[in-house]
Amino acid sequence: MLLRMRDVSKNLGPERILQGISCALDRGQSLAIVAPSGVGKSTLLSIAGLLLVPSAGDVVIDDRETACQDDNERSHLRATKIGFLFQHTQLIGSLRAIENVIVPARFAPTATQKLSKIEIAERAKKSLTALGLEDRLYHYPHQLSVGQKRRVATARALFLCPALIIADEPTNDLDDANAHTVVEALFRRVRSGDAGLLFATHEKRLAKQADTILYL
Amino acid sequence: MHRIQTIAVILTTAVSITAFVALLLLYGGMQRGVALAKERGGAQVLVVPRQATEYLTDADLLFTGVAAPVYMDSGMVEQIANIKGVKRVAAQFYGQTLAESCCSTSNEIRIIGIDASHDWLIGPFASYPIDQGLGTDEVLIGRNVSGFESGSGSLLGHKVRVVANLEPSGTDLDNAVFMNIDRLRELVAGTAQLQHFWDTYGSPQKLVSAILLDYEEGQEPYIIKNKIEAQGVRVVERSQAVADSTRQLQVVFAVMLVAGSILALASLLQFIARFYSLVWERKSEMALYRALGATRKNLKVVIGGEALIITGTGALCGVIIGLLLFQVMFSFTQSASAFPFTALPPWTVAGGVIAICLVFFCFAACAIVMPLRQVNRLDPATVMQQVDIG
Repeated sequence: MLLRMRDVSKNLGPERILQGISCALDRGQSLAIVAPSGVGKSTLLSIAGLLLVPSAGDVVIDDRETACQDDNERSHLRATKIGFLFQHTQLIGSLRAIENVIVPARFAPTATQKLSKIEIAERAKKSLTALGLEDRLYHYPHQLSVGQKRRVATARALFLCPALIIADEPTNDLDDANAHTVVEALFRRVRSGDAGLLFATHEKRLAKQADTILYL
Repeated sequence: MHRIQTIAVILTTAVSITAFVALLLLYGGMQRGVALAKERGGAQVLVVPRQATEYLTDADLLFTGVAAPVYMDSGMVEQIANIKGVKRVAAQFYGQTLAESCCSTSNEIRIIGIDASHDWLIGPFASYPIDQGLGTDEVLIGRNVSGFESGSGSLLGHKVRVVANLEPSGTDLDNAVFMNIDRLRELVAGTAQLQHFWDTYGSPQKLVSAILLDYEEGQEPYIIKNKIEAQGVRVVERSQAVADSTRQLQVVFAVMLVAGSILALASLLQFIARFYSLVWERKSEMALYRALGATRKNLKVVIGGEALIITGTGALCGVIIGLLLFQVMFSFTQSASAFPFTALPPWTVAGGVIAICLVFFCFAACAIVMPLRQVNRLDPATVMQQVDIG
């Protein structure tokens, strides 16, 4: 199983954000989390992405129990198994588009160890070109539109071909064309059978494309 | 903004290291010069004609090779030798090179004629035995004299052969050419450009320029000095001149040291501010790295690496500029001043430069302590909530 969460709860101080959430996702599948704002979608994604430790419950990633893993092991799993597409693109302002895409490779050297720097750059170019950004490879984030930034962030999330893709509101603030490009790129990976997609959205039309919908 | 701040820290580091490297080399060179001058002895006293001090300082006479056309009657040697309390004397005759094709040197420097049979001053600096006297075409070359690299050259239109290069002394010996006193007198007598001196002072065969002497032990130096000065000459006490020059340099050095220390402190504060802001301003970026799989150790390597690159670049620039600045200051002190100065051996220079760089790397290490602690507290989950960092 790629991702399994069982009876996951999360308290932040005295406040209980999540309670008893269970779900599962395998390669080739997609799971949409639908909820109004402030209910805990991002918290649940953070727990699934090993950014947060649940107050109770288990999280299994690629058949590995994560409860007793230390920070280094969790970091390693994030680097090698998970690709994040954040609600705000989180591109690094001092890096060009192509350099932003390559960032995950810095922390997962095993994923690219057989590739030279030139090959890694070629791969990043290919990813950006596939998303229609061939003429924006060397632009800085501040020189890109919202839609272009989201596409660069998508290329970064998919760069190391992660088994688990986690996307938080992937089409937020995007026009139809950009939204279609991003969603298509994410689902293409799922359809290939190599990855599972967990995403949060408040758009019912997008949620319906998922194999499973989890309402919070 | 980051780039400008980073460049500012690199420049501050470079300027501080430049100042320290140049100071180290200058002060070390001076210290060595003084030490060598003391260690290798030399005469306690230099006697020159009284009028010599009208246009030459004591330090000019003792520590530089500038031309010194000062002359007195050679009978003065015997008069001074006969004064009670004078242990030994050696006469020197000063000629000079000309900035013309007659001479291998490019500028006017002092040629010192020595009487090898009475010399106890030059011998210790020469690998060649000069107690039998120098031949008419033989010369000894001071450490800083150029133009005789092939082992021969010309002086006042005559071919000469270098029989020895003197060891560095930190004194005028480093900047002068030495030859047989009688041969030098012959050469200058036949040089038209110097004829006006002989018109003034008389035949060079009957002249000396300086008398070097040592006192007998147990004698009161000031009494002997008074007796010598009563002969109508000027007495220059080497130890006093060395002490004066050293004191002057130490004052200059102290001022520069304070300035350098302020720069170093500024560097340290800049390091602390820069490296703290490196993490503080880039907290979101660091959190993103954590979310993308960076361990705390990875981030520490990123921060440490940046600190290393900034400090290393500053240090490299500082060392290069410092060495260049030293060359300029060295030439300046040699040509415009009169300090006992000897360049430091390469290994001492290398050691000093490495020590200075290490101090700055320690500064950088101290400055990243706080940022490294901040990294430990970074929560990767904040990346899910934070606004866009690009």
